[in-house]
Amino acid sequence: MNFLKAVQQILINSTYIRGDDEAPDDFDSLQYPAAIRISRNAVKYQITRLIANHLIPYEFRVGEIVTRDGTGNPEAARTYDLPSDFVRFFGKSPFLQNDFNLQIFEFDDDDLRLSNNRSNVDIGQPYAWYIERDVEKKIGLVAIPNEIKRWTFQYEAEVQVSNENDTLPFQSEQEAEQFVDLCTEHFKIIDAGGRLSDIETDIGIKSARSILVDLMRYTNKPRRYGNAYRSVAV
Amino acid sequence: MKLTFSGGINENDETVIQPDECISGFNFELGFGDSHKSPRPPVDLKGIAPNSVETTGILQLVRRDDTETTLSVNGAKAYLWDGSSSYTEQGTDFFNAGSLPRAVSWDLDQYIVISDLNKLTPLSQWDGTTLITQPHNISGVTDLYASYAIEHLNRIWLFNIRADTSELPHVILASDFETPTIFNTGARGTAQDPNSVVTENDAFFLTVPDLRWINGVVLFNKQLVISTRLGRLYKLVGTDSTNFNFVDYYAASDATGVESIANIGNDVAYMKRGGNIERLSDTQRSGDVDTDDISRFIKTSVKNLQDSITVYDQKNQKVFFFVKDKILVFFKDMIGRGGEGGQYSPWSIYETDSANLDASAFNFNTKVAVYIRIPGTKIYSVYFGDPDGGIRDLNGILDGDNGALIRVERTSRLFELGKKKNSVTGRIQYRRKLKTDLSIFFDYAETYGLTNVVVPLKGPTSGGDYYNTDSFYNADNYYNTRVLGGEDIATVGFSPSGSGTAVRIITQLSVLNDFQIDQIDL
Repeated sequence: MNFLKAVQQILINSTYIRGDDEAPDDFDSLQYPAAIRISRNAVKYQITRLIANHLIPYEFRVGEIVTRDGTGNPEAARTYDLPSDFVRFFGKSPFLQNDFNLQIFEFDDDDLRLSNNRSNVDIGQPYAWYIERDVEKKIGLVAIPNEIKRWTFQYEAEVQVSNENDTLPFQSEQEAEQFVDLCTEHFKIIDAGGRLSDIETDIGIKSARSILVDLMRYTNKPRRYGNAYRSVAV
Repeated sequence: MKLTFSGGINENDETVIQPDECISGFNFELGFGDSHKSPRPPVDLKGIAPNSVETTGILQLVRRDDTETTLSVNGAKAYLWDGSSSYTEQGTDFFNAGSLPRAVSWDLDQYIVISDLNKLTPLSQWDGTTLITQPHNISGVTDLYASYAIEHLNRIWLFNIRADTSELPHVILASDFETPTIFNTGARGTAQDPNSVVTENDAFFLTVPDLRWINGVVLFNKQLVISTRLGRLYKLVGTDSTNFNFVDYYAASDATGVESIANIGNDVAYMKRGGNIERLSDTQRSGDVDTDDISRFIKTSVKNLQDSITVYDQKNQKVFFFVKDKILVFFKDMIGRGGEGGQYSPWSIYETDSANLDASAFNFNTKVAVYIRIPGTKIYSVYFGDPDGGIRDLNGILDGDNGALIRVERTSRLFELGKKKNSVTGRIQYRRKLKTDLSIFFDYAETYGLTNVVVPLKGPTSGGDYYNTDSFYNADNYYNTRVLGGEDIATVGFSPSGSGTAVRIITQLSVLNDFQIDQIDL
């Protein structure tokens, strides 16, 4: 399900669209500008809320950097850009050099040593990485690479939606639909004149979100002792 | 809150305006028992004179055999017009430039007598085949001109005349009994001159008592009523030449214009100095009081108007006041119709959408408007001339104003929204007559925001069965034949941006054909 479809579904669930109404074809529709705006905000808010609390499968990505040969010009091979959807690395040792089955770790977070290494022009096989402070997300390698090699890494990606065709970050349609139900609850509160602070205390929101999280779990763990033995209806 | 459209334009303070009136708007219709919004009829261009000179007269003769002939006067030329594209000049440059000819029927001899509001062309007659100057038999006078002519009590009466170069705007001529070719400017009616030698059936003249210019004549309720410019109303009393006279009817009419006074069926309407429009019955009952002006609902629109051409559309029960760039439309059947807050305004305004208009932007500015029989038919309509020699039908049936979009707009009064909400939502009930877009503007109080939505309205359902092939409801089932096309009720929602404690709602459409919006729920 994409972002537009989710907004359409919210408008249908909240009975904005009924009878022989047509759902808006895009976010620029002049028929429901306010409702569309509230719906879009509901979707984005709830995605943010969800990924802030949980790791959802859609966040996992594998990226890669290809090192450059710093021989003769070390500075040109010191730092490497990360993907535009990069949020943070997954795990403590994300980088893997496949040829050597080599992993490297983040350089010890000691500013003094780090600054020393930033000025280090040692060239050779990288044995650590560090976060390069810059306006864009990038890393630096120690030592500076002396050959072209492909390194892969796992990271958590940005999964927020913004464009109409962006896919909601859920693995199944059922999860996506439940997410839309959650957003519909959000929509109704705001549409009725409520505030954002009302969202987190609303029982409908809590219920919809817990169902969604349940759906996203890979295992069906009992949530309380003896639950399954008392009643199948619980 | 439910917004309907029962009332017309009410330009008084918003606190006294009823919810289903509007504070401004144009090109919508009203009707007794109607609460929906629909557009005025389109204006059809019926024909254009060969010389493309402004139409200043539309003259029609209907003979006893129920056939009619119609003349279009364009500058100096008079054309026999078939109601479409056929124009045949009658005479040669018969009219003097600037004439505003008007017709009155003389059925005894089956011709029309043609006067001229501007008194530039002598009194004339048209018998269906020949256009000639009307004989008058006045000794010493070659050309007799009259601004107004009317048939009453077996005579032709002329008002506001000119005898050759002698201007006599206060004089009334009455023809010989059943002989409209004999007038007399030398013999005064006995009622005004006891020494006069006229006998009962003789032609005679009278003067209007206040000696002002006569600026209107109307027959109403078996009475002949005349108006003097910024003066009084008088009515004719008497039975023959020995006792006919004009006596005061209403002393402070202050009527302005030259064609603003008209019989509107059960009453007489006229425009006063300052632009107010009055009804004679109200004046008789209440005197000169503002609260009885029929134009009291549209004070702003009539303010300082100087003139109008007033035409009564008997078939559709409307009175049209052609003023500069628009028509003020008075819906007679709305008189007395009211909601909980009193009487609804019976007024709409017709305008043209200049931006989309065809090349001849007439804007309802016309020199002639008449209620006549549509040539070649037995149906009546209001025809008017345009600046380019055209004649247009106010009750048209084609698409738009000769193909141009008709913009329809209403602005509601201010509605309280109560608690300030994050958004306003609404739903429209309409008929699936026309596929078009409805724009609704929301003028919010306090936030001073003006936002809008564009709501698509669907057109008629396709022919045949709505639930048909491959559906649960199929042929031979209960749900089969559709209701009448174009009457299908549909609803559609909308959700505008912005919010406030109160809002005015402006509905706007530009259409070529009829539509119907029943109500808007907010």
